[in-house]
Order: sequence, then C-alpha cells, then structure tokens
Amino acid sequence: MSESEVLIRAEGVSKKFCRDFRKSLWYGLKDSLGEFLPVGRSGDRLADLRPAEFWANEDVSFEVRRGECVGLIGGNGAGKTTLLRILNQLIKPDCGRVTVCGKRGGLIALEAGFNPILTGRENVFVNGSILGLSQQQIRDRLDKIVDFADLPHAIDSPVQTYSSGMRVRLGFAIAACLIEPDVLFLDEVLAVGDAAFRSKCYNEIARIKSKTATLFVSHNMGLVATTTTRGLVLDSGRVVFDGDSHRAIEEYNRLNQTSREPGRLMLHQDIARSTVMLDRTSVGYAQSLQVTIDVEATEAYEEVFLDVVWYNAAGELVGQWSGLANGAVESLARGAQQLRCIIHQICLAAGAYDLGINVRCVRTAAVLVWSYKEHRIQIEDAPSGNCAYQMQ
Amino acid sequence: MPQIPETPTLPVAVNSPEAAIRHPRKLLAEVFRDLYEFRGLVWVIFRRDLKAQFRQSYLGYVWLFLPPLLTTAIWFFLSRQNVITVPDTGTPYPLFVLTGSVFWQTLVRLLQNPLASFRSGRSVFTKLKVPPEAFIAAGTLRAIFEMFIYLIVLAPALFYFQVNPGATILLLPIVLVALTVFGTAIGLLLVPVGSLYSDIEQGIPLVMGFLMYMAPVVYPPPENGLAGEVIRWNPATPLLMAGRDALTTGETDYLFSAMLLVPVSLLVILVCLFGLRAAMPHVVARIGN
Repeated sequence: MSESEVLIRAEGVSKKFCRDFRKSLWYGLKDSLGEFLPVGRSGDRLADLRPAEFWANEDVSFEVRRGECVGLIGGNGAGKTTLLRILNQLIKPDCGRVTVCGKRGGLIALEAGFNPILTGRENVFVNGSILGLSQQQIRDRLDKIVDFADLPHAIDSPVQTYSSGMRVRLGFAIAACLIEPDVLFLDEVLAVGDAAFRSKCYNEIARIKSKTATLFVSHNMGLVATTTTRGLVLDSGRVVFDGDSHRAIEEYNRLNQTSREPGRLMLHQDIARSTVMLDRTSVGYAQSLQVTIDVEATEAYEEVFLDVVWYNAAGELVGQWSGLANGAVESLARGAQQLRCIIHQICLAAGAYDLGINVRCVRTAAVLVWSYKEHRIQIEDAPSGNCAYQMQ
Repeated sequence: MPQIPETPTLPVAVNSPEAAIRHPRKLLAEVFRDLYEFRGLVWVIFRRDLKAQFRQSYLGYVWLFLPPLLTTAIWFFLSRQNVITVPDTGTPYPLFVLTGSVFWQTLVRLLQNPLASFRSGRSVFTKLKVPPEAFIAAGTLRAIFEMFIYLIVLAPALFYFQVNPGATILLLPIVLVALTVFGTAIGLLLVPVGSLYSDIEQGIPLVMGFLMYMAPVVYPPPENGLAGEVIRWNPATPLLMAGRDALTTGETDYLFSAMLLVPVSLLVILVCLFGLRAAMPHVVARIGN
C-alpha cells in the first residue's frame, strides 16, 4: 500500500438542512419517497433550496491520503459534523459525491450501546459487536481493553455503578482497542478522563492515526496544531481554506475576529471616570508595552495595583502581568491621576491578543477599573507555534 | 519464482444523491450482506435485552413462563366452575383457548418487538454506521424465542387433557414458519411510521386486544353472520386454526391458506427492507442527533 493513496475524496458535496422542524420532517418524508422515483425527488430539484432551507455544506471538495491527518475547523454550525456524517455514509449528500476507500472507524458515540444494568464485561461485547467485530475477536482483546480502561476491579459490576469518568474510559478503551480503520473520524471526543488517562488516549490515537487517513474535528486549536498536518477551514458550509495547519488556524482566528464581541469598560462606584491607553498597537517579539490609565476617583484607596491579562484569539487566557507580583503597588488619591506600568519581555507567539486590564484594591481585592478586551495587541516578528509562550 | 502478493484492494464506498430505486437489487444485496456481517450483533442485542429485562427482578426468567401458565390456570378454573359455555370445539375448551392464546401472543410480540428494538437502537445507528436491520432482527428473534417458551408450557397441558396430536404435529413447524413470516412482515411494515410517531407502539396492545376477538382465539369461528365473515377474511385465522388443529384434532382445512400467506409475506418483507434502507439516510438527517 503506497503512502500516497487517496482514501477520502469529496467532490462538490452539498447538503441542505431545514431550520423549521415540522417542514424538516415533511421534506424528509418527501425525500424518502423520492428514493422510489427514478428521476429527481418528487419534483424538487436537488440543487434548489426549498422554503426555510439553507446549505449546511456547499460545494465541498477535498482529498485525504493515507498517513494524513486533516483538521476540520470552523465555528459552531459551520458544517463540520454534517460533513463527517456524509463521509461516514450516515446521510446522503444533495449534490456531489464522496468516495471513501477501506474500513471506516471513529472515536464517536463511545457509550452509545451501553446498557446500564449489564456489567462492564457484557457491555464490551455489545459495543464491540456494534463496531462490527465477532465474539471471538472481542474475547481475544478483552484483557487489553480492561487493562487500557484500567478497570480490573469494576469490569464485572453493572455499568450503572460506574462514575461518568469510568464509563467514558471503558467506551474509549473498547473503540481504541478494537478498531483497525483505514479512514478515521475524530469528532471532538479525543481524550477523556483524568490527566493520566488522557495521555494514554493521545498515545493510542497517535498509534491508530499513523496508518490511516484521519479527519479531526475540534475547537481546541492547540490540539489541531499539534495533531494535524493540514487544516480545512469551513465557514457557513463552504471550504474557505485548505492547507498548512498553522495557516488554517490563523485563517480560522481571522474569521473569528470579525465576529468578536466588542470590548467593555466597567467602573467601581468610587471611580467617576477612567480611560485606558496603550503606547502602541503592535509589539515585536520580546519587546515591551506601556499601559497608562487615567483615573478620577471619588474615594481614596491606600494600596492598588494594575493587573494585565492576555487572551489569545480563541479567548483562552495565555498570559498575565500583575503589579502585585512585580511589587508595583501604588496609592489612589481622591481626584484625577494617572497609573502606569511597563510590561517587559513579551515572549508570545505571533498573532493577535486581547487585553484585560484591571485596577484592583490590594486589601479587599475589589475591581475599581475593568477594561475587558477593549485593546488588541498584535505580536509581530515572533515565532509561530503551538503554544502562546515562546521561550528564548 | 515466488509470487509477489498483490496489494489487497480496499472496499470502496460511494455516497451520492442518486435515488435508491435505480439499483434496487444492489441495495437489497447490501442489506443481506450487512445482516450476515453483523449476525453477531443480532445475537448480542438479543441476549443483552433478555438479560437486562430480568436481571433487576427477583423471579428472573420465571417471568417468561408466567403469562401462558396463568392463562391456562384462569381458563381451567373458569371451565371447571361452568362459568362460560361455548359451542363444542372438538377439543377441551381450556386447551382450545390456550393454543389460541399462544399463537396470538406470538403474533403480538412479532409486531411489537421489532419496533421496540429499533427505537432502542436509534442512538446507535444515527451516530455509527451500523445496520438498523440488526436491531429489528434481534426483536424478531426475541419473539421467536418467546414463542418456543409458550410452546413448552403447552406440552404439559396436552398431556393433562390427554390429547394426542399424533403424526400431524409434524405440520406444526410449517405453521410456525408461516406465523413468523407473517408477523415479521406486519412488524416491519410498522417500523417506518412507528419510528417517527410513538402512537404505533402505544396502540399495538390496544388494537391487538380488540382484534383478538375478531379472530378465533377464545371461540371457534362462527359459520355465518358478520363475525363469521370478518373472521373468514382475517389473515390470522388460518394460522391460528391450522396451528391449533395440528396440535389437537389432527385434521385441518386451513393449511393451504396458511401456506399461501408465506410468499405474500416474504414479498412484503423484501419491499419493507428496501424501503427502510432507502429512507434511513433521510430519517437520520431529520431526527438523528
């Protein structure tokens, strides 16, 4: 088997869905009857939208080869799961076609076949059969599954006595130990359980996907960056980018920016007025940034400090500068004044970051000024990588 | 010279909007191939549901035998007390009722089980590529299993009433096959609508409870009148009568009609299997999540 064989091919795939549930059922009935008519489906042209319909996928084309792991990224409702379900032959496209070669497997719906009254061992056989394995094949790998799930004492207890963590561990272990796919679908559920078990999951996924063509759906860009070799960005059902993972993530973040929430400024009752200013909007790698805050207070505070937190494009907290930790505690007098701080050595990966800037009272921890994502800093001439903090 | 092993060609699955009617034979072949491939799953689901039903009960599998046993006891009591009088049936009346109920109950289960099984498997086959027919088949298998349980209970009753079926008992398997095929056909017909609306599942016991009196279950078919006409055209009549006659009197006029039901039912089953498979992607797209 050559490394470059194409295992997944989508050609102009489109799928329409309906937001109105009653119309949706009606269309479903019509489409089902259409299966019995040799031409068209009950008079409706497939390429046309009916009332209340929209394209969940529109003209999607791509290929995935063996050994490739492609990240499918996009906001909620971008059509990622729909595309996976078309590829998995669960639903039919309205236009175009997909061709999938070899055995399909997925780490999806891990607990779907579980019956809570039955023991873990019995449920292994149920879920294994759902994955298409014979009793003998499951028996051969039972020890491995119990070992992987790390449930030697609980395997003969009813699943209803399991904690939710134990249940997903068993579900994951069954799927991971039993499937030997050529094409692998991963939808969000990637690693489950506690930290130790998660690292086991990652290793197992890495083992499986080394031999498969993999499609990986996730909103966790850190995982996409480390796991995938290529990224496919979906927006409103269309492929807007197909290429290098890092550039795909940038593209995804850029799409998110346009729809990001506006910043906010909130003031404590003792603060009459405040403005937050930065000395620049873009910072070079390991360079510094000055933050200045104009404050007019109606009450005096003895000890206050500045606190600056950094959010990445996905909205995750990735950095902090605290005046308290840096010994920069000041006093706030009644009337107008300026508070200032300089943040040195900003060693962040290239990209856009939103700032959360607070003025807080040391004694009561009350927030006097809270500027939430009012300011955005672009980090330039910096390494691009999987982690926000890039060391020197 | 050693042969170079060829690279195994992988199975190719194509998913396109083409209407299923274009290749009906291909689709049906797929259904049967899937059923064969997932025969292990049918067996596992059958055992899972059976175990799960009785594990949380004290009496356990005794519950399987209780309904026919109780029916016998009740009718035995009633006939002993002369509470009811029915025209001469040629066989002891309690036995007449018991045989009728056994076949009727089997028919009811054949209608109920596939749908219940299909609904319980919905969370699986809307997310994973698993043939839904495997769940339906497990339900049918369950009904057949229950039929044999009822028949086991019947044996001591035959012995007690000193009814010796003789060689005609060899006709019983034919009747049982006809009953199973007929019940499966109707059960399959109910699945598509029943999967969308719960009315079907709730209505089956009610409707079947009513229909029981439109069939020769507790009384012999009347010669004339409206009831006689209805019962004559009831497709379940030949099955009930032929089965009962095979077990008791050994003489039956109903065997041919019972056997006539087989090809018709098989055709219905094929059409249903095709329709269900063709409609599945649309059902999953609309309700599966």
